[in-house]
Amino acid sequence: MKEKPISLSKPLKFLIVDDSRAIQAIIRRAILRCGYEPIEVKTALDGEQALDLVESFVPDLIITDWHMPKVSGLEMVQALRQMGHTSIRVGFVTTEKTPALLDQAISNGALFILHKPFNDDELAAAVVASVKDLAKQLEPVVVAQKADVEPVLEASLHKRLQATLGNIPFRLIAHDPMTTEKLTVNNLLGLYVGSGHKGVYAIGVMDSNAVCMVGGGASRKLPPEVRAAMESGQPDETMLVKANEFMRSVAQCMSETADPAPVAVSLAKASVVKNTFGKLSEVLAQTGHRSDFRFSIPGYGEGRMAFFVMAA
Amino acid sequence: MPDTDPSYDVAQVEMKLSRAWKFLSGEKRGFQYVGGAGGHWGFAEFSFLMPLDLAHGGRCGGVGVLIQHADAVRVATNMFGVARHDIQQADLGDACAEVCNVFSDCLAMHFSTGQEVKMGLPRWASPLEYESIAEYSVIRAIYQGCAGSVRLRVVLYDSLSSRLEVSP
Repeated sequence: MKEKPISLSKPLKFLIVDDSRAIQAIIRRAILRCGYEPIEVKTALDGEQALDLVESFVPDLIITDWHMPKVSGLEMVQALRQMGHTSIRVGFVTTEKTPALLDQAISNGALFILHKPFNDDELAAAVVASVKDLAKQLEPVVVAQKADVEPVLEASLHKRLQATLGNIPFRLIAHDPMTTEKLTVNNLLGLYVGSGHKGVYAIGVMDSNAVCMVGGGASRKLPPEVRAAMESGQPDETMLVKANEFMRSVAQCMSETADPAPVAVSLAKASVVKNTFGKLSEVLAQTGHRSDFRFSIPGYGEGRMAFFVMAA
Repeated sequence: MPDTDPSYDVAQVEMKLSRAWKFLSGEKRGFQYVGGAGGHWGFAEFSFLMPLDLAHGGRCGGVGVLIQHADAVRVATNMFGVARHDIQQADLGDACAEVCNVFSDCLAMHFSTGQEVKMGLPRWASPLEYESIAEYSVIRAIYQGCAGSVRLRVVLYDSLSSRLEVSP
């Protein structure tokens, strides 16, 4: 995550709600990893305590467990909204996977639902994605220095996914670099060409989970079918076709960020490759000119995708 | 070599337990299915029970997690991010309850096929309670992960003695 602290003009406020002090400690560490300074972190052992605390401490982000004594995480969020706290942001860290319940959390404004077990980086990335606009407003000095060109902007990819998935709720967050170890066995590899460029202009990689969710969502497959494909790592033909179409549409995102512009980018070829494919590890080792994302649909799971502009 | 339970993917559960343990303890450890109905179980210092209920009524079961002292210390130091000598007894119980919570999720979906399973809240079980569980409840599967002589067991109960069922 952030190597340098991000100084803010006033504290970002976090409330951790979990009946396990051990999980509270893990969440606190993940918040610290985000690098924001100063911050205020308070904790509550259940939803009831949290609701009492919010009377005197209005957090920017609540990170809550689901199953807790007295008042559950979902009940707490519903109560918060009824109390008029519509601007408090909320994310869940839970083992709960029942699609109908997760939908209720989303409809009550949950920004992320992270399933245990997770790693610290995933939680820190979710926290950053949830508060980065607030943090930006609190930065005293805006240093507009772009060290690297991102080939696919998060907002732009978000739009493409929305166009592909329609009204299916999903989460997309910029994430740590995709690595060979994190790949699934089968992955969709897309090769992009750009006007005025010889050879491959860019490469896109979607792991099989992302392919199943994007392809299955686009073809309106039922959740059990998509989950089965994810578990087996084998998207069916329809999922692959729809995932290919999505990958094709991402070319437009790359055209928008081409530097120097204009470059008309298009998908030349997409094919399924194994994680052992040699060229893939070379691509994943690239340190700049890349955009990495984690993508999830509540009740389905999560997958990863990444896009790389090849060095000239 | 124990018989494997044919009704679900045992290898998948083993993999999930290993992944969960890495998250909880920071340690890589393999878990193996070591037995089904009638298998042995063993009380440990930190023995926790997670009740499982079918959403629309019906049978009640549970997941028992039996954690020895060394593993309790390992998991607490990792989760709290402190040195061994800073760990309090209450921290050990807290961390082990979370182990029970996360491990139960690895097994809950196999408690029933096709029916929604509701997990309750983990609770510590005394030696006496665990003795009763062993006597009156039906074990479906036992998984075990070892590090040297330290043994961590996860037990899926198909049904629990009614005296021991815990409301979620």
